[in-house]
Amino acid sequence: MSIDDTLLMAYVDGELSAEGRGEVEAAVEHSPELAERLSAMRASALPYGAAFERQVLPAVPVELARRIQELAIVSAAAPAPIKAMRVWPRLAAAFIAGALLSLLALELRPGTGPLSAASAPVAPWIQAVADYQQLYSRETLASVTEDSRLTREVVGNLQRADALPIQIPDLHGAGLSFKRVQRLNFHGQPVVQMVYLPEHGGPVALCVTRDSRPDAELKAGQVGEMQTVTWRRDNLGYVLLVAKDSSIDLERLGQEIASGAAAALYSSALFPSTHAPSRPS
Amino acid sequence: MPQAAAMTSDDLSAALPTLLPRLWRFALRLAANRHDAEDLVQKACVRALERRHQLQPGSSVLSWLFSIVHTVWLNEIRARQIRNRASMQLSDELGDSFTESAALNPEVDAMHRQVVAAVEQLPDAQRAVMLLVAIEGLSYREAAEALAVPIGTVMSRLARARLTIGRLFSTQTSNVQPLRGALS
Repeated sequence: MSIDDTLLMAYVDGELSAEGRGEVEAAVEHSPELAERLSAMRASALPYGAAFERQVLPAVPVELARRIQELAIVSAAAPAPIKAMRVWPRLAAAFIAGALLSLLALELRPGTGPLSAASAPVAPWIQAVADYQQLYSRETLASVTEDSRLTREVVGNLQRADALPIQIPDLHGAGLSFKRVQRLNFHGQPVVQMVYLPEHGGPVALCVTRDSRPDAELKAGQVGEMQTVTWRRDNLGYVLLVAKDSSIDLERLGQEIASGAAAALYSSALFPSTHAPSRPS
Repeated sequence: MPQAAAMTSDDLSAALPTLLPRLWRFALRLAANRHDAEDLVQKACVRALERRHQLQPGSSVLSWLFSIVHTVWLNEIRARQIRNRASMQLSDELGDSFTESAALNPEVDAMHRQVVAAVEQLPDAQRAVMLLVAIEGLSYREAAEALAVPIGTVMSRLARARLTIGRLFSTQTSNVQPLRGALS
């Protein structure tokens, strides 16, 4: 029988049957090399757990714990099953709109100028997506190739199940490659995250959620390490985000998207732009 | 039914903050410095939440999270560390800090420090297995899941690691009495 190191380890740890032990002992008797390995394996039966238990490690950084807690709240979730949502789309839409009305009550107050930096409290959902977006580095997305099938599926579900009339703006003209779209949750409400990567520097994200308040013009601001541009249009709230050290002209980009100058990345034939979900039959 | 098989958002959302100290500890020991460990845990948590649908029922959430931490470390953090040799070692950063106990035999105290040093000096693949099995207490199967390798590979890496450590202790610490059967 061949005695390898895993067998010697099992022998030392008392995991072999009497027969197995006998075979190892017989082999060791006739092999000084094997006896040396067995001796070393015996010496390796050490209190690893107790030793490492005594090692003093830095505690979980408070900021890290906060971010993970935030992540746990604003987390990527699979699109809601369409069948279940089709039964009550209008009810769902009404409920979500109502919920968001109260949720967004803390939304940015009107600024002093069209693009003045906001000093008012940041809307919770914008604070949350900004925290989430801070975790995305260029490395996170550099290897991601856009999956057009997945994009169609996610956008289709957002349009039908969530009744969100989402289109993916084509920002190639601004040097941004579309990477992916995700449906995030914020306290159970859908938030759409579209991520783009410029030729250099960190990613740019466009996030959208339902917001039934009156339309609002573009407003620049900063949330943590992210610069933002926010606006409201046709019952949707938008925030465009990029790291504050980015050279991207976020306001110009926001104007391009808000004005509709940026075409949809996929034709409307692929994403029927029917805003209202079909009525249940 | 992938949807039915997937973990619910509440499950992972509730588990992540609870398991964070263990992920942090594992990341800290893998990356060997605080900055990289923080980056590693953040990235791993983002991945885990994005891929929660891949977690199969019946499999261990902790092993799955460890597997993501390990993959991110292998593919991103370690590669960066290799590129940037300036990263500080954990032992340097922490000054080999150990909890003190008046009741502790000085020989046992010395042995504990030698055990930690010996594991830290192992090649990366063997060190990862030792961290998961001997320190984090994962079964061979769970460690295999976490490292995405067959169980046989886990056992073989563990045996090689133990042999290296055993030889170190046989030659360097003849005055230290190994605690047989104390492997945890």
